[in-house]
Amino acid sequence: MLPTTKDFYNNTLIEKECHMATDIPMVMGLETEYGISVDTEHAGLGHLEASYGSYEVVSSVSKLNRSLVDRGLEDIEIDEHEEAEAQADQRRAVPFTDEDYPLSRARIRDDDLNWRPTQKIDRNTRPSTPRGAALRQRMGFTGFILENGARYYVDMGHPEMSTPETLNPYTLVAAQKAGDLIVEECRRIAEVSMGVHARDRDLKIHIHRNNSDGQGNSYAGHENYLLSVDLFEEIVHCMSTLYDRASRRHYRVFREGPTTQAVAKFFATRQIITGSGKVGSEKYDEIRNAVPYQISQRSDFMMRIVGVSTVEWRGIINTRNQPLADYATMRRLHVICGDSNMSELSIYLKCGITALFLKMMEHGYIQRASGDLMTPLFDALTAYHTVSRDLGLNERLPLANARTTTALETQIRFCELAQTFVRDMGLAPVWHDIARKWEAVLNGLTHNRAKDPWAKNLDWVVKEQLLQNFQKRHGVGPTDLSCRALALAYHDINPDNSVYHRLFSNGKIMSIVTPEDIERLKREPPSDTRAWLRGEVIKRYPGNIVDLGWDYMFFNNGDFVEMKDPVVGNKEQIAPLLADNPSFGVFYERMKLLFASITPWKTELHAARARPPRRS
Amino acid sequence: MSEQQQVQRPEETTAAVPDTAKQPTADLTGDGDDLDLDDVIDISDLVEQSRNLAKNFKQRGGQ
Repeated sequence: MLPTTKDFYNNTLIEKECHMATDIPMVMGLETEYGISVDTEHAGLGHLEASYGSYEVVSSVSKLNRSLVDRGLEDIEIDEHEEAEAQADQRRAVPFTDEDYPLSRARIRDDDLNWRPTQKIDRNTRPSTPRGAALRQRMGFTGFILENGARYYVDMGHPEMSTPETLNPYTLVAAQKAGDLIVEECRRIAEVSMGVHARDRDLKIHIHRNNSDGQGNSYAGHENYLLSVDLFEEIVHCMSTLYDRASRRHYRVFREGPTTQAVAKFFATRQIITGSGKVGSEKYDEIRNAVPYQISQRSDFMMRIVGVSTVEWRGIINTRNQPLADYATMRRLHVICGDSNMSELSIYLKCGITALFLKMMEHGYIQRASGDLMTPLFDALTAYHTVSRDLGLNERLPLANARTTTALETQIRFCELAQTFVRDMGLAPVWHDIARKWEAVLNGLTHNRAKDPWAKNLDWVVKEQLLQNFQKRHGVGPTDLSCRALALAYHDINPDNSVYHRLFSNGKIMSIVTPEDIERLKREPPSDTRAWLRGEVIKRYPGNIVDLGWDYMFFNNGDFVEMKDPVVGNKEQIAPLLADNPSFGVFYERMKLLFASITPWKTELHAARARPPRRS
Repeated sequence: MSEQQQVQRPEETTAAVPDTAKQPTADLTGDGDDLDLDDVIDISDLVEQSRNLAKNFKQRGGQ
């Protein structure tokens, strides 16, 4: 019997026969950068106000009567001296110019719509108002760690919520939805406080869970999966480093070997499940109206197969090497090519099928598969864009061996393998559930997706049907402003303004998780990872924390705890230590003993595999 | 599809998640309706109120 994540949950590791020497538990997490717009009576919609709005929204979490780690924001009132200081800091900031970013400038191209389909990056996210600047200065980059184990902060001018780690895609969906509820509560508070400071009672803040503004600017919906070092290095293998004298920059050259190509192929074709649908094109060499509707919001922003950057020249495979776990044995695959989804089924499958695929890679299932499954796409990047535009799901994608395939055919093959994999490995029921739903959705996409009970719940299918019906009923074309308005309103997180929420509350889109679980995960971390320990420490000993991150805790007794294994610190392990409500000192000693008793197997097993850290 | 489709809640750990795809429940098989959503659910007010936002929707590039 091969081990499952349950074995790790019970702190037992079984070496097994597979091409990978380790079996890393499938720890997952999601990050969401929300789109934010501030509608003021005087200034209208402006992105500088939006940056200030982000700080106002995120800092509002301190008013939710919820345990958290903050940076001195209990007293949100900021005095005049602090405002003046922040303002001075603002003036010292180097303003953004195109000159700083030659790669962006090279992509700028005007067309007859006077629209710039470019990825011009404005890194100056400093709010324009003194209060915004002061909030920024106080909050810093880390932002807040919440009692549910999530991290909540401002990233590049957007509010961002990163879910706590979990082993279960079901829990992940609930955690993501819980994050939405927290952001929405903060939005309501911030709307009032920002309105007071802006002397505008009608001020409105709009927050969207989407990935682009339709004008060439994109923001993230990232996924994270824990992998073994071996698999990560097969996927992301740096061959050499080049130095470009002209730009005075170092460039890393990545090998696009068979494993890399297989992952790119999976990501290119999974869009038919994970896409959240977009009106128009934002690809640099196309005009906006060239594509009335496409499957993915992020596809246009993928500009290479492998790359390190997440803000410009994004790659289908991101090479960020920051495990946030034991560097000797684990890596985190940072997936940046996916969409932010509203539909629970889309989120559930996005994380579930990707985790299954990576597990299959780790166990050599994909590598040993017959047929063309390991045959790389002839051009994965072009295929990525093609799949997103292929609403018929029948576009033939050239393979490197001169044959062709479609996204649907490829996904069906991956899915068939997954059925075998979950059976052979005796995986937990959640993975069987994922495999079955994967099959059901693909079956629906093969036939009539609008009528299929599963496929019609995918984000891009819902939006497609909404748009078609709207156009038919109101006699408008696909490029009409109403269509863009509809597509945007779908992603609003305010239930009063959201098309998704109206459909959902009327039972037109299926749910995966229960409202009770979502409500619970607003306050509790998932019980199966170190997030539980993080949450308990925040709730019980907030005064003893100096600093807290994904994989470490600093305490005011001068001690530092590294949480290198994401499954150590789960509820099963921590609850007994807290049963008698111990003082911090007693709990700390018990926690040290727990880590000391669990860590050796890893040290022993992987000592030979330890290698010096590489630059990320 | 007349009522909200819902999947049973699994336990928190990976050990127990319902085998929902095998359950022949009526709400999961659906009623064969296509997604003629705005036939039943009126969304025109939401579209109308987000027109101005869509017209001016401009975001800072993120990650």
